[in-house]
Amino acid sequence: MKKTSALGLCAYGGIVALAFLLPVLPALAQQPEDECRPVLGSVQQETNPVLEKKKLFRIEVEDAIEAELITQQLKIKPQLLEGHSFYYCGDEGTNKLLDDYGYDPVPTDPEEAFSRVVRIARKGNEEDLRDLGVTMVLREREFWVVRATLRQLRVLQKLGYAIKEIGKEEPRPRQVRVTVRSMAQVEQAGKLGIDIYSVARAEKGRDAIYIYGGAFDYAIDELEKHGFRVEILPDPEGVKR
Amino acid sequence: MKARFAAAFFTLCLASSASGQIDFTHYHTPSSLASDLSGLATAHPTLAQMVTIGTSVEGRPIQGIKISTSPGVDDPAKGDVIVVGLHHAREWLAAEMPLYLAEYLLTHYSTDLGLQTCMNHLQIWIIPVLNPDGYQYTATTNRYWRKNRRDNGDGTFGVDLNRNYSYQWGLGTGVQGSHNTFDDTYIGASAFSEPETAALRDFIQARHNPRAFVTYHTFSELFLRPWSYTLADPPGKPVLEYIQQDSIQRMAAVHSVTYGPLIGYRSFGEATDYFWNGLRLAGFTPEMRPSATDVTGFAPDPSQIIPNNEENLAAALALIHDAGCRSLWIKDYTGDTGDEPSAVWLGNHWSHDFWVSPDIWTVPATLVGGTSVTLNVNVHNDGPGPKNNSIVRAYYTDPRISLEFPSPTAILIGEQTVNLHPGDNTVSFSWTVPTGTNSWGEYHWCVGAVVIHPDDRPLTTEIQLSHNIGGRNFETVAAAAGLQTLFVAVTNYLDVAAEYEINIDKETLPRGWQLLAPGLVTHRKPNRKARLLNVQGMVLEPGETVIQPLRLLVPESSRAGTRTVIKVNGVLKPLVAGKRVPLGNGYTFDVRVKKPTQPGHTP
Repeated sequence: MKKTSALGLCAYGGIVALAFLLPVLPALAQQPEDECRPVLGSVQQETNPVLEKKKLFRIEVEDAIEAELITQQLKIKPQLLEGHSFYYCGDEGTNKLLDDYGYDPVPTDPEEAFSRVVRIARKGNEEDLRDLGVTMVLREREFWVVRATLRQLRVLQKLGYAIKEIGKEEPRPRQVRVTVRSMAQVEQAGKLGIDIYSVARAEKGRDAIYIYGGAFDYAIDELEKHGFRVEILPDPEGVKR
Repeated sequence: MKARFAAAFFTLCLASSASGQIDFTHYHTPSSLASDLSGLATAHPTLAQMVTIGTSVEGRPIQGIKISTSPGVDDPAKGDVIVVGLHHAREWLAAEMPLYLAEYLLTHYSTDLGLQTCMNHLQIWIIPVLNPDGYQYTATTNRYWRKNRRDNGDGTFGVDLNRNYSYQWGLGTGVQGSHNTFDDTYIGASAFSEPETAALRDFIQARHNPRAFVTYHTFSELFLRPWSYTLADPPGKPVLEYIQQDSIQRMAAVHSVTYGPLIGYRSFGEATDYFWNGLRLAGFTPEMRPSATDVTGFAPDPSQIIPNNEENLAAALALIHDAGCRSLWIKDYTGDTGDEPSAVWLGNHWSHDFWVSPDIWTVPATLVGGTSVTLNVNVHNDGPGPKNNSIVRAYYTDPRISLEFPSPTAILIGEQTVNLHPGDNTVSFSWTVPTGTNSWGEYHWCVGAVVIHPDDRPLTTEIQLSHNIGGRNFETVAAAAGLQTLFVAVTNYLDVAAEYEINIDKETLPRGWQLLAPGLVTHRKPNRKARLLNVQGMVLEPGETVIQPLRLLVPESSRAGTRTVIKVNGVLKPLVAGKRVPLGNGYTFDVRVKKPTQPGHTP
């Protein structure tokens, strides 16, 4: 499928406009035809008369099993599952079907629902990004890696940030050692975003437990905010930042 | 014979190392591993065949090797053991170990008669690399990549396959299962969103007789069991814990490396949780070498491959032994031959009533509340020699359609350590019969017995799935002529909502007797999962119990003392996607007509 075709699938006002607002962004990866995920980039628009009326909606589900049953029984694929929200690409027929099963579809702005992880050149104060609600994934010397909704990206662009796709340069977590006092704190630290590789008692004479793992800067920030001591260890061999 | 073979088998497995042709002194590459795996199948055509269980997100085949005496036939009479490696791409040892196991089994089959005996009863499916895309990526681009290579559509790649199973999916944060696409523990867009996990789910659910499941990971030197998502005890914890501890001991005996039992954090949407919850398939996660403090972490020196494989082989072979070989067993019904499963659900009834073990009986036969009776359990030993220091445990439960031994609701009557000789062995317990009625208002108790030996361990908690477990209902109901009511209590002991189905065998009723099962009226709005599945029957939430009345009409002409047996088959069908595997068993009422003057229930 051409990357252009997805642009015309969801006739949601904001999406088409976004293509022109963010011409500097290269087009995203190709999307299946039944997706309502917006495609950014300066691309030629095609339309699909069958799918162009589809929009993004949200319903609330109890858990993953219910989401799976909707997919299996009603053939409605989630575009995004976040918490108890099940986002799907639908139309009147889809919504009628879901309504019959007791769901309450809510139209949703894809710009608010979907986010992207991108590089931006370091500029100004990091506080500005935080105020926007952007997640700081990594702070590198020349650039930041952030996760932002499409709406937030648009604002960033207006503020003059140079936005670049990550492409093949995927963000690498930092290698860290976190010092905690108890197994309960291991659990607590784990919830804050560290990918735990191993957990070990500290050397004799020290009443501590070391967590070795990988963490992005957002997680390191959280760990430190919660009072954990985080040491950055050398990157594995071959990692370039 | 079996016991002798088994003893030789365990001796050999401790003494042997890789004796095949595959080089384990260096890490394989993805292509050399695939080549060596297919080379094994080619070299052992009567014992092995390559299988492909699915295709990765980038289109690579997910390959494995089937080891069986009939590799080209999927034999439902044989037990299935499933061994999986490399959910996580950077954990290269987790691919080396399954390959090593495959080679060991194929090269020792003809010389190790104990192993051969066990393998003859099994189909062993070894899938060294569940995540071929990630594996390839670690070989070419990023040695420390963990996830698969799903394009998440937001500039990031990869889903953590071991956070993508549906049981408890999405309920964690951070390392428990992250919702951030760029995190290494990203859970995916939905449960089973990834073709790799969906392929393994479909593959295992399609097996006729799954007995054991191992999924290899690194590192930290741990041997883990369900649950992963909670620190609370899983159903059947003693079964899982026994295998866990026993495996740790067996592994420590090889190179003196003692694995730990706890990982220190929880994970949601994990593989062994999914299969234990849905199928009561015992699954274990060895987190192999190096130790937690070893700085080599995911990339230990290649010199660690062989000792790592050798110690893990000891635990794997013990599981294969228990899945394929038995000498101790308890009958589930009179005609039981000891093969498992002893009964299968045929759509509306079980093929056999497996809760009527003739190997469990009381003296006296009539149970009177508050009195002490002798509870006897007959354990068969088919081996040529004694099984010393075997443990026999007896339990009783309230009557519920679903029974597991052991389980949180089963009350221990007693435990005995005995030497079980070849042939039949009667083990006796003193049991004080509960006074009054059980909690559902009936004089009805279910007794379960479990036999355990280090060379013959139960791998599940379901009677019909384990030769080590037998169960028997004890029920005495006296019925006067006229309309009587019997009750069946149904409890959903699963962690998910379930539909329950019962079927009453009316064919054995004496002439003129009638039995009616009025449908239960529920005023509750059916839940959405039930509606999605178009469930017609009653749905029980986890932990919920209902009492189903059965109306029995005894003709006036019936003579006092006339007896009949009323059988009720029951299952719980969980409200989940995919194959809904029924779990449960049934009731047997032993009804006799009492004299008109006899009061109430007897005894």
